[in-house]
This record gives sequence, structure tokens and C-alpha cells, in this order.
Amino acid sequence: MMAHYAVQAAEIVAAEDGIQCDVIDLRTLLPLDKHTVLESFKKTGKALIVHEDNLTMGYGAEIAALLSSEGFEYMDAPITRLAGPDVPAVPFSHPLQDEFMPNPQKITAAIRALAAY
Amino acid sequence: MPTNVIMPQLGESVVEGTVSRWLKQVGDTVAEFEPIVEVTTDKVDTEIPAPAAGVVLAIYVAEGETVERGTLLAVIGAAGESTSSAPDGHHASGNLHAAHAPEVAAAEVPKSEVEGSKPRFSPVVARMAAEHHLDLTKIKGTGLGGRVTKQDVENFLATPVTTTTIATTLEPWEQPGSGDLFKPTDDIYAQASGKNVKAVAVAPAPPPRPSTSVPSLSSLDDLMKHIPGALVKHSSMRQAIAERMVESKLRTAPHVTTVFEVEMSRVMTHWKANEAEYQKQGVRLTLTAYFVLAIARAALAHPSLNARWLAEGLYVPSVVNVGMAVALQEGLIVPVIRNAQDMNLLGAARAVSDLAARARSKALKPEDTQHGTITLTNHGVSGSLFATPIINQPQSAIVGTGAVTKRVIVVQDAAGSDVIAIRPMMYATLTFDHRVTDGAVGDAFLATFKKTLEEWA
Repeated sequence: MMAHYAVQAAEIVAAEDGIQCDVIDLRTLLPLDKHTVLESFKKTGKALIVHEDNLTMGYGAEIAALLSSEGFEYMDAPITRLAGPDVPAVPFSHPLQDEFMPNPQKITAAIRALAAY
Repeated sequence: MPTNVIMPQLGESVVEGTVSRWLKQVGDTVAEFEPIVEVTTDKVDTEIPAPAAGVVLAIYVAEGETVERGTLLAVIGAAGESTSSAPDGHHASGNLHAAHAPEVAAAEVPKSEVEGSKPRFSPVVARMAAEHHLDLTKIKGTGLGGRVTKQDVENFLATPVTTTTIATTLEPWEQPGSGDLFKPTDDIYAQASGKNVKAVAVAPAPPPRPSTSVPSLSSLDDLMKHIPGALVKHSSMRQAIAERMVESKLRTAPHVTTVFEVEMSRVMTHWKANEAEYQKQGVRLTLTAYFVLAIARAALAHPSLNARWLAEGLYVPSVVNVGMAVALQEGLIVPVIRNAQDMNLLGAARAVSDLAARARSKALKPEDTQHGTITLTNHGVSGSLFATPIINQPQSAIVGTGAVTKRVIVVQDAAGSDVIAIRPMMYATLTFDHRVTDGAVGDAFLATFKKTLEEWA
């Protein structure tokens, strides 16, 4: 789901703002494809981590830690995470679900903020 | 009395080195001859020993920086001693150095500079600034709150005129040092061996960078518009090879090449018969070993091709030190087999396999690549039949050996009539400096080389 949203967001910012993104869909979390992640980070210097879960204790923190420990010299902006708020996930009510979940609009906004940094 | 640690000359043609790692930091105690810093050049990676015992008082060159030989790297002295050779002048650029050498900056940047609203830089920007010696305060930031982004640095670097390096005036660590380490290695060796050869008064100036058509970055943009592609930066090894090739072929030696055809039956038979035997002794026998011996014999018979052209005359060595071109992924290197004239096949094979292995694992010592008198390039291993290689200056000749292939040739049978036979054949080339000698001598050299191989016993 997040991969599709991220691709949509990347297409939007590419068309509207001219911001080029690598979208990496991590198919496995262990082992983690560190090589692809770090190579992309070396190129861009900026990373937005999107995952469909609570922000705190989410897997995105692992990736953020990886980037700061192994990609520190390439960092050009704060490593940013976009995930659900720290409430029990996931609400049943559709409007609350929309509020909880990252979506292309939220991702687009986060990319723009990161690119402007 | 503080002692300076100087970037030494790490080879005949090596004029600069990159500090790859400091093994000691400011404040650490070092013993004399204890490794203090690791240095990388286009030829070798090596550790530099401390010239004196004491405490590291200051480090002037950060890891990853490339500096010329003779540059002041660090100062060693008694604890608390002042680094007299580092006048206040170099604090002017303290800001940049703070980015990559915090231990120096902390101790030396004057307070007034720290108090101002010092801009902060992201790690990637700091690293790029250190690599390209940029003053970041001169770059206009386009990021949030005027922050200098990676993109800004890239744009700045792509603008040709404004790539100003800080070092317009000589900083203290860039001034030539004194002492043994700074002298050309040849002088030091000559003195150490008691020969008291008259030392060259002045260290040779670093060769000028070739001014050959290197496209600037502005024309690069234009180029990329018409021919899509990417720019691969020159490695220091590539740069060195480029300089030496231009120097040799276009500025120094008029090259001329002669080609012989060598019948390799006897060598191939000998090789096949002995390969396993040598393997048992832990030595990999290759054709290169045969070529080294054949070159040694030919060079003794025709010493002018083993000689060096000097302004005063032709220097003719009494030994044959055969340089052996070894292809590496990132370029090539030429380790030297010394005293090949005294070797038998086992000795030559041992030297060849040892040097080739150490060249590929980057474990060559500086002296392993020095004092060659003639070079062998066995380009046949990659299938090439014959080639016209470029002489490795200051030598006078280079022998090229092509691929050994089975070919049909005309031979005489026992009764003396011509018959067609299949033989392993190889083209051998000799490219030599026509200043030193003429075609007939070159041909005679190669004839001896051919005879040695064809009559191998």
C-alpha cells in the first residue's frame, strides 16, 4: 500500500515540482537491502521513510538508524519519518483511518518539505 | 624542540600522497619509528613512522586530503610545547578546518571566531567542502534559512571560474619541509650506502600537469546535452599514468618499434613439463618468468637498451632490473624484478608470482616499483597479438610479448625439404628510445631474446 502511495507521490512531485525521488520498496525487513538504501541515500542525501504503523517503535526507526550510522557523511537533511500517530492502530472508522494512514497527499507534502530544506 | 612530520617522497615519480588514516591523534604519545599515519599514493599504501619520540602536538592535514611531498603533516614534541612552526597566519581558514579536523580546531581556532554566528553545515556538505577545499562561507545557500545544501555545493563546483581553493598563499603546512624524508629517495639511499654520490642540489620540481585538452566543466554541460553520459573522475593512479604516458611518448622519447616472430615449441614443452613440479615448491610458473630471463640475457648482450639517457651521457647499468607491467582493475603498476641477470627460472618464477600477487593486493612497498632498467609487458595474456607499448621513463626500452597461438609455418624436415608444420608462435616487440640507439641494435636485442626462447633447454 505505502509503496503504491509513495510512487504516486513521487510522480506528483516529479510533475509539479521537478523533484526526482528514488522509491525503494523494501520487500523484506530481515535481511534488509542495506545496499540499495545506502546507495540511493548517497545519491540524494535526503530520506523520507514511510510506513503504515505507529511512528514510535516502528520499523522506520531502524532504517533511520541505519542511515545515520552508515550514511552519516552523505546526509544533507534530517532523516524524516512519516507514519501513523501514536494511537492504537488501526481505527475502524473510515474518516479516522484516513487520518491515521499516510496517503499520497501527506507523502507529497513531506517530500516537498524535505526537498526545500 | 618540536619535530615536523613531513609527507615523504614515496617513489621515483610520486609527487603527492593522500592521508588515509591518522593512527595517532593530537595529545597521543608516540615512540620513535612508531607508525603515526597511513598514506596512500597512486603506487603504494604505506605507514609513515614517527621521526622522533614525544607527543603529537598538532595535525595539519585531515584524513582524505591529498598533499604534495614535503608537506608538513604534523608536529611532535614534548607535552605542552608550542608548535613554533605554526604561526597565527593559518587560523584564517579555521572555519573550514573545523569541519573536518575538530581536534585541531578545538585547540587553535581563536575564540572571537567561535563566538560569531557560525553557520552549520550538513555532513555531506562538510565532506564535499573538505574534498574540494572550499570555503563554504563563499557559497550562497538556497536551502531553508539560507542553508547551504548539497545541490548548492554541486552547482558551485560546476561553475568553472569560482572554484577557488583556499591555498592561494602558502600555508605553513604547505611549505617545503627539511630533513631526510624530504629528499628524493635516491639521494638518501646513496648516502646510506656510503657511496656519497653527489646529491642533486634541488629536489626536482613536480612535473607540470598535462595541459592536454581536458574539457572543463562548462563544456561538459554542453557535451552532456549532445551526447548523454556520465563523468567518471580520474583516480590518482589514472592521473599519474596519464602524465607519465604523455611525458614519455610526446615530450621525451622518440619511440620506434620492431617486431619478431618467436617459435615457442621448446618453451611450451618445458613449461608443461615443469609446471606441476614448480607448483609442488609453491611457485606458479608462468611464461612471464621465461621472458624475464630472455630479456636479462638480451639486455646483457645489448646494454644500450638497458640504459638511461641522461644529459651528461648514457648511463649503462651493470644489472638488469626488469619491470613487469601488472594490470589492475583501476589501472596498472610496474613492480621491478631486481638482478634478473643472476636468476634461474625458479628464482624468476618466484619473483614474478610474488610481485604480481602483491601488486594485486596493493601490498607493494615503494622500493618494489623503483629502479627498473627495462620493462616487460606481457599483453598476450589478454589475447593481443602484438602491440606498441609506451616506454616507462626513464628507461630506454619495453618488450611486448603477444599471445602464443598455434600457427601454420614452413619448416625444413630432416631431409632438408620444406614442409608445413603447426607450431606455437608468438610475436615479440621491442619498443625503444631512438635517441639511445638505432634499429639494428634493437633488432639484435630482439634476435637474442628470440634465440633464447627458441633454444630453451
